[in-house]
Amino acid sequence: MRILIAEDNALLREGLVLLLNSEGHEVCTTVDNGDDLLPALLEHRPDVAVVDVRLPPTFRDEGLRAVVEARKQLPNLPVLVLSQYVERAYATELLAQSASGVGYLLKDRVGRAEEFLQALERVADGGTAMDPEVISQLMVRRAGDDPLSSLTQREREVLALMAEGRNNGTIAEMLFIAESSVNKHIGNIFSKLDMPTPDSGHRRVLAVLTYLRA
Amino acid sequence: MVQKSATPRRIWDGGRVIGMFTRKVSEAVRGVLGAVRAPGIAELRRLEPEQWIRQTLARFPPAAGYMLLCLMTGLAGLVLFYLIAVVFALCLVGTGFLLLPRTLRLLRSYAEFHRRRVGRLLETTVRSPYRDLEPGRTGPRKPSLRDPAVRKDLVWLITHGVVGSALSIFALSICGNAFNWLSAPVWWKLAENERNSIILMNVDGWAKAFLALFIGIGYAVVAMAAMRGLALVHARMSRRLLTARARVALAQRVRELAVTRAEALDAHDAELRRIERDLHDGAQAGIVAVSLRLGMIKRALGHRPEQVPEMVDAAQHLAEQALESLRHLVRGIYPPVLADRGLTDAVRALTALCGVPTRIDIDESAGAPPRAPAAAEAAAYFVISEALTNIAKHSGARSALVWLRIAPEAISIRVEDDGKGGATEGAGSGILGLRRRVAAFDGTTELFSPTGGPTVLKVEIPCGS
Repeated sequence: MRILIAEDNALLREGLVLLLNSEGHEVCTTVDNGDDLLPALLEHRPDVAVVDVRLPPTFRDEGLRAVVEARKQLPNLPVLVLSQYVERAYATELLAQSASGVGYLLKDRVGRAEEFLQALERVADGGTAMDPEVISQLMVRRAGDDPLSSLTQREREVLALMAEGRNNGTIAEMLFIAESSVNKHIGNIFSKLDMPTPDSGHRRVLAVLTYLRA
Repeated sequence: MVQKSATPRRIWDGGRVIGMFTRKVSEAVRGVLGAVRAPGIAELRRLEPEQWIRQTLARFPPAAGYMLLCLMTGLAGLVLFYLIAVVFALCLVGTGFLLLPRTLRLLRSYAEFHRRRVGRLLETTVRSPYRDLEPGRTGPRKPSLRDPAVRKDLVWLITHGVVGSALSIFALSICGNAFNWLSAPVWWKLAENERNSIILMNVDGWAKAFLALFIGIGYAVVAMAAMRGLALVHARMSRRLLTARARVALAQRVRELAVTRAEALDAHDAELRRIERDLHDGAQAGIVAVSLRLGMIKRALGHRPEQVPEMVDAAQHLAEQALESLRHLVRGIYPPVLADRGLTDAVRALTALCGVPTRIDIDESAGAPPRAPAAAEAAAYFVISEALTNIAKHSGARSALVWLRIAPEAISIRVEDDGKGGATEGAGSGILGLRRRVAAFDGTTELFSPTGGPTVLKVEIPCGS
């Protein structure tokens, strides 16, 4: 994969380059500030971009804004956004356009190299990778509203994992239940949430996210 | 002892009587002096005679200088008052309005000049009472007759001219008289015709001339002792007229405090942001980088074990860097050296680290200075640290001086260098941040940095009381 990295912390940037190179990916370019990010994204059109939310010069959310702008011009440009902390506003802004090829992870997750690389691949394929923290925050926001409160505890767990971008097999493993039960839960979730029956893959996630950001 | 007092005293104990007599006299003198509440004399009761003489001698020149200056400016002030009256009169026919702003500016600089003189004599700062100079005030900075302080300046000007001049003349004439009497042996023979008009004694022989000399000495002592008292009376009267009335001053103070509080909140806000950013981008990013390396090591263990030791080294190095950045951050919040050693030693450490050779002037003649509140100490530490950083970075100085005084009521700092000057409060110089930090304590920051140097930074941080 051709990957673009936007990260202002040199240690982390080098670490990411090292990790991705050692996995056989090509890092097409690295950017260390917000101003250069948008032109770089448009010029290199990477298979996936790893972008820090907060970049110089203002250290606010220029990474995120550049990504949103880039995805306006290149719809579905796969982007995995990294952030020091979970901010619901960032996630909603990211998802406002389209949930395909979008990831939002806490920076801490890059330590789990295996999972990080999986998430990266999922995003590159047009899937989703949402940090569990993000999902739980989004769920909290929803807790008072009716549709989600009709879900059982187990169904919520399944929904959260779906939102992170997991497939049924992984969900079953993580919750120590059979895959068939997972399928049943998902069916329940969609019927409770009035969702059309999904076919497969990340489109389910799409549906979940569409609901979450509504 | 017991034996001696039991024996009836037969011989006249001369020494004892004289001792008693002098004691009584000095008691009487002190009693009389105590009734006179002149400041110079009141001190006589507290001080040893020798100390008092030394102090009086030291205080005479500034007091006499002040009185002389006030005599001149008082008389000149009468002219100024006349001019202002003319301008006001011209206002009635309209043309005066053209001259009015300039006249009021002149009045203001005249009054400001006296505020500095009075402040120097009374060893305080006489604050300008003008409304348009208040911090946080928008609008043009120019004197206006609507400002009660400007109207009060006019009252001061006429009082200064009449009462102030009279007081000055009185004080200076004592000096003049002392001189006349003292110099009697010199002139009595030369000025035969005017003898009677110079002093109140007809000096017609050497005996009288020397008597006049002794009276002159008495006069001189009175002049020396009274000059400071009179100057203080003059200065206090001037201060009362040059500062705002209590209610107005209070209102002004409240407005000032509101502004400094807002600045304090800003400074606090900026500080919180800085800490948050330093934590996220420094320590946290460092730990994430370590975690990333550990993840890579885990993967390498399977298929590239030979690379693992090197990767572990790298990870450890990163962990150390993260710790270093944490240490740096903690130092930025509250330098541990302040807690352990106090401000003076912390400042000594700072000057030792400064790239420019820096002398340090701390008064420890009365033992270690008192500890100020932690926040004030930290602010003082950052002021000096920032100033020294600026000197090392921008000034091109060959040497610098840090002057530090810690009193229970305030920390006073002066940092000087012999560099090229021209320091501004513009972005990047850090002076603005420093000023805010000091303003948060209701303190003052003054920067003198003419092009070509030298640069002097003066900061005063009140310590809560």
